[in-house]
Amino acid sequence: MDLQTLTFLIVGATFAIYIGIAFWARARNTNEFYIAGGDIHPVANGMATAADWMSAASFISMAGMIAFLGYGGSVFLMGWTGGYVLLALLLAPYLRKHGSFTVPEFISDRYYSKTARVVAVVCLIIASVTYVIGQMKGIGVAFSRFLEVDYDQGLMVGMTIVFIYAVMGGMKGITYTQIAQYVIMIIAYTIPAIFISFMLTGNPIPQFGLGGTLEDGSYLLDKLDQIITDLGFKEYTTNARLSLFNMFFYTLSLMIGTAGLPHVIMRFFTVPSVKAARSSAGWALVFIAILYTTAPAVAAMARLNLITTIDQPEQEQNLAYKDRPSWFRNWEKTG
Amino acid sequence: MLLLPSCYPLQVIILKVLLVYNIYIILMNKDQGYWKENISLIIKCLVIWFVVSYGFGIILVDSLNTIRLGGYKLGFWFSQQGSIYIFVTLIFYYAFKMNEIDQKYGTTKDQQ
Repeated sequence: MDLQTLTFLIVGATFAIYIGIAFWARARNTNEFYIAGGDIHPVANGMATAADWMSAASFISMAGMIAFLGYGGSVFLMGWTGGYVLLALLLAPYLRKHGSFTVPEFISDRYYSKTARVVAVVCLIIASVTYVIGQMKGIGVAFSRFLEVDYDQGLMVGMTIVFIYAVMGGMKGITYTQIAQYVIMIIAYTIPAIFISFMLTGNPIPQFGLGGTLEDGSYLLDKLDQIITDLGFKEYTTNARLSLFNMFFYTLSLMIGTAGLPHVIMRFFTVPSVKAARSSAGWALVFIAILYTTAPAVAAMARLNLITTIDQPEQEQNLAYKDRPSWFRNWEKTG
Repeated sequence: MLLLPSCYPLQVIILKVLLVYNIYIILMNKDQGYWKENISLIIKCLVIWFVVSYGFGIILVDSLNTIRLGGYKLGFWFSQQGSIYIFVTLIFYYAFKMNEIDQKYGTTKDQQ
């Protein structure tokens, strides 16, 4: 069985699971359609929130971005996780306490105003559409790469699949689909990370491997710093790229943005109590943190691995273009 | 003094007023105490949130980088690992403390 068939089988199976779950847990009434009946366990809700929120950006591009940016990539790590602290302390429990279906409903009750409700709806649509544009780009890239079709066609296929299970399952179906997605996503993400960490540092836990030593006894991060400064790049662990001022406000805006994401806030309406809403935010961040503390390890290790593959100081010149692994060329096309 | 009904001695009236006032104060304090504790807890958590991310991860990163944590420079560790672990701990700490406060002021019942 070649790689292509295997990919089809695995990806096909995961989508069959998602659609199957959506059908099994399909919404039967309004309550289930909007807030999944309001009785999702906080841990399950945390897992669904994590899958819901860790989108194309976290899964596909973040490690690459950090590999490219080095220390400067920290704005995404801190910004996208720190927002959950704001969400858990300032928003989620109070919205849950109110007991509404949607954020605009809360706004209109709290401020006794239909106008405020309309404004909230407009803001929500703007935020969601902007967000979905990014996600759709990710879906397009992933599907065109995996089906080996054009970007546009890949996008259409992906959209159709998501549409089917979202409309059929409502919030209840989505909750259970997302739990399955989280499990699949985290396995897919951590297995390569565990292997690369084990190969490079002998420690299977990437979070420790990143601070660990290589075969020659030098620390991985020190080695990486040294190799890339030799090649004329700036040091990986200190290169901020942005000024302190910019970094500060970049992180702040990412945090506030994360805390305000409509599809994340929405998830806290599905738990049974305020108490559950509080702990659920914590569980969401636990599940997110598993990926978010692995990503910097993947980033640094992949960069080290990539550079040592191409850059061969012992030989006359670097690895020739034609000798480079085939996945280089495959990805060049997708972009 | 003359306006008071003769069947009510002065001390009884004063006692009654004091009693009502006391209940009012207790209720107010109870309510305010809940919010006061809630807000001071939030502020405490947000200070830690700010210090580990913006403080250690961004503003003080260069000076912390002179300290090592195994293979990590400490400032780099805070910005790419440590701050995230502390965020998780903070949320659970807040949830735990808030449950205690809820129980203390008996607000758990009316949330269900």
